[in-house]
Amino acid sequence: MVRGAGIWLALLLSLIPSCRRLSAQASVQLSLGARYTSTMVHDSIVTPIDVRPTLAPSLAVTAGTASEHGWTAEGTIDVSWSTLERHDQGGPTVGLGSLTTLAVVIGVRRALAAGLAGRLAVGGLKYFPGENTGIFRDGSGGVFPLGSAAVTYVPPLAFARRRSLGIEARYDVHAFITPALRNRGFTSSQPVHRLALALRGTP
Amino acid sequence: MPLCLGALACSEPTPPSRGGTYNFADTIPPDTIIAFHWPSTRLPVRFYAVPQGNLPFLVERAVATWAGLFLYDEFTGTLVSDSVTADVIVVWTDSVPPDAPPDTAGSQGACNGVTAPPTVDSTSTFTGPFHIQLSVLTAAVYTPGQVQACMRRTAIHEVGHSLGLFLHSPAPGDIMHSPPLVDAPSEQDRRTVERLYHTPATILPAAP
Repeated sequence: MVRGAGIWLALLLSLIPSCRRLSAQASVQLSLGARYTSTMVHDSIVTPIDVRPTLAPSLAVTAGTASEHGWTAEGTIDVSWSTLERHDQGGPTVGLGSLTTLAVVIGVRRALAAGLAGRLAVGGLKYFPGENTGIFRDGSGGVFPLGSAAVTYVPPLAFARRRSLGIEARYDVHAFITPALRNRGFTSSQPVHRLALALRGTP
Repeated sequence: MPLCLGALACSEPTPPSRGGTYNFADTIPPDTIIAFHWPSTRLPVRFYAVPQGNLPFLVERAVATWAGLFLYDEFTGTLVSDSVTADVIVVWTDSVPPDAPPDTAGSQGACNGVTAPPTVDSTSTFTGPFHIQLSVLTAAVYTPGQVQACMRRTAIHEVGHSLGLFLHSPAPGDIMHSPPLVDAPSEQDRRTVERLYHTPATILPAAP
């Protein structure tokens, strides 16, 4: 993992104990799961080429305020690690090195039904490639604006309710392009969709 | 924001046009096409440069120059210290030129390079490593700086042959023009080698 992402992760994990000492009205939740990411670059050189990350582990920490009239304000730091791959149509799949993503979003959560809650959030996402080669040769493209939506379900079990333990589906979308891609004639960004399925609960 | 995200989710960018290449595949009459590139399973390609003068520097610089052209890591190379394990062997033909700051002006004709591909067996597989020779030309008097400038571009040109660019470009602005007149690969060189590395090869490299 690259140093920059490592520092962010260490900071993220260090926040957990201090957040637990927050007011009883506030909450901190941890989620751990897996994330699918759609194609980041679609190109065509003789045959079509897609570049996308492998299925990645995903770790997120969410801090929320007390619920008022069913609404909760939340902030989430979300990290995932994967290998970037090139898929040549009718040809090989080639690893292009490691890729870490860090996303920070703020938004609102609302209870939708018994045990079911939804969240809308906006924020930013940054890529930390393992090597500054290929599409990341001239940089990772800065922070990409991100829109996010999530749904959480906590089953009606005493233990699950006590720990707010449930299943969360998180979706987000951002527009991806890098300086190297611009230099090669890409004039518009590629919409990148990410979907994570995770277990979420109070640490 | 919802409108922006909606538009974002629906738009698909068009890949850039990659027209404008020169021929890279050689032909054995009447119709045998020789198209070669290093497959992803054989990367990084192993280059051996005899440790005399600044030859390792010249080869490493040439390999990095070509590798830097690719957007999707189609080619990578590395210098190795043992010629027995090399895919490409680079030597001086005779004299070793002194290392000096390159002086591009008037450096045409100060050096020469030759790349000899290995022979091909009955299974359309190369039988050994590529051999590249770089030589100082003595028909005229050149300064060490002029020789070095010539060697830098000639090393890139010859390493280009070892990547599979077997033919010369007709355009003087391309590094694969013979003799090379420019110091770095052009946009057309880049498009051509990109295209080569996504074209099915008709010849395989020798077993590692």
